[in-house]
Amino acid sequence: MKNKAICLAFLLVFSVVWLGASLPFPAAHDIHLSKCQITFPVENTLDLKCHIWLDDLTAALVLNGLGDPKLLTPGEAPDANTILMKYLFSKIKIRVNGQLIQPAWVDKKASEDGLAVWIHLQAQNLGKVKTVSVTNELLRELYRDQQNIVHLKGPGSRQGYLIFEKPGQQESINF
Amino acid sequence: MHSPFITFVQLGFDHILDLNGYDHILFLVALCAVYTFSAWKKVALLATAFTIGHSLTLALSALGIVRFPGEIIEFLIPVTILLTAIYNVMHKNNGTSENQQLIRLNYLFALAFGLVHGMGFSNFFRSSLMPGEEGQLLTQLLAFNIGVELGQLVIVGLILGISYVAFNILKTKQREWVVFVSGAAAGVALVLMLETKFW
Repeated sequence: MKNKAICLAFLLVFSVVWLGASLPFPAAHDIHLSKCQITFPVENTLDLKCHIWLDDLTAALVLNGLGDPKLLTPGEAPDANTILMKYLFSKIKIRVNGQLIQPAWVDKKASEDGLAVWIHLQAQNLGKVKTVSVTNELLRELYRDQQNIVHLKGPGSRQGYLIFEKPGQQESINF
Repeated sequence: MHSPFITFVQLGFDHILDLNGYDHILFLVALCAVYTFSAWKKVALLATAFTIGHSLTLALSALGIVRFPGEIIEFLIPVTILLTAIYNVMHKNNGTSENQQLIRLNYLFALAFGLVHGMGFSNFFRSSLMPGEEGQLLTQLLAFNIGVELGQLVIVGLILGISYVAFNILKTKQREWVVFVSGAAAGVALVLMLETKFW
């Protein structure tokens, strides 16, 4: 009796697997996380590097009316970098000593697994950095559980992490 | 601004308690479904077996010793939920009996399925690591695991609290409760399996 029940259970699982193979359901990943690193390679220069999943980023660009620039493909739109900066500046706001900064484009590259893009921006001639304020609302228009981590290193030896998971959340650090 | 330790405790805690990615919660619901509040010691041992399993695969992946394909793992996690739910309904153990063979089998299930869930945790953990911070890896791994454990304690506490209300206040029969909870978990697990098919 028990063996029969076990056979039935595994038959059920097998049936679901077979059913799954024959239906056009999309594959899903449930990691709703972006990560950015803010560093100061020299005292008055700020480097911003952001790691964003490509599928989510594309969906967000389309949702925001910026179109699909076919990032990191042979058919990438000529203005892809401009589109990316437009989106990033609408979602990430960095204030140094109270002044909103808009870092310049440096480059972008695919992550090791090819599923995400690293975007690198840089702001120079900032003067002596006393306070840094950050808001990061990347991809929040797509997912309620989106978490955006910012790793802040320096200036000087001070470093730590900020986790953004609420709308309108702003974090300030004094140096 | 948080230290790396606190940050990764929070990430682990938030990850297991994320209601939008509820597969780990659902597994714990299925795992605890056959136990009453008074059997909390057995639940604690079960949760420990689950923890040993997921800590092992999380560490192996975080240290770069093995890699697990995310899409297959996302599919296997609901399979563990479905099998646990089926097992609950099939066996007649009422959660307080001393059938040692069944209890040992439960621990084995929890340990083995913990391995699968740890692979799921590892994909999230690895995606939260910052470049240039490799020296902090062990601290971050320990902190993330502590966060997951704290979240797990919250979930198990809530489940036992709800089952206490069901048995002691609503006077639900245990067998009916087990079938009800396991059936619900199995149904959701089936949907998750269909949504995460990887081939």
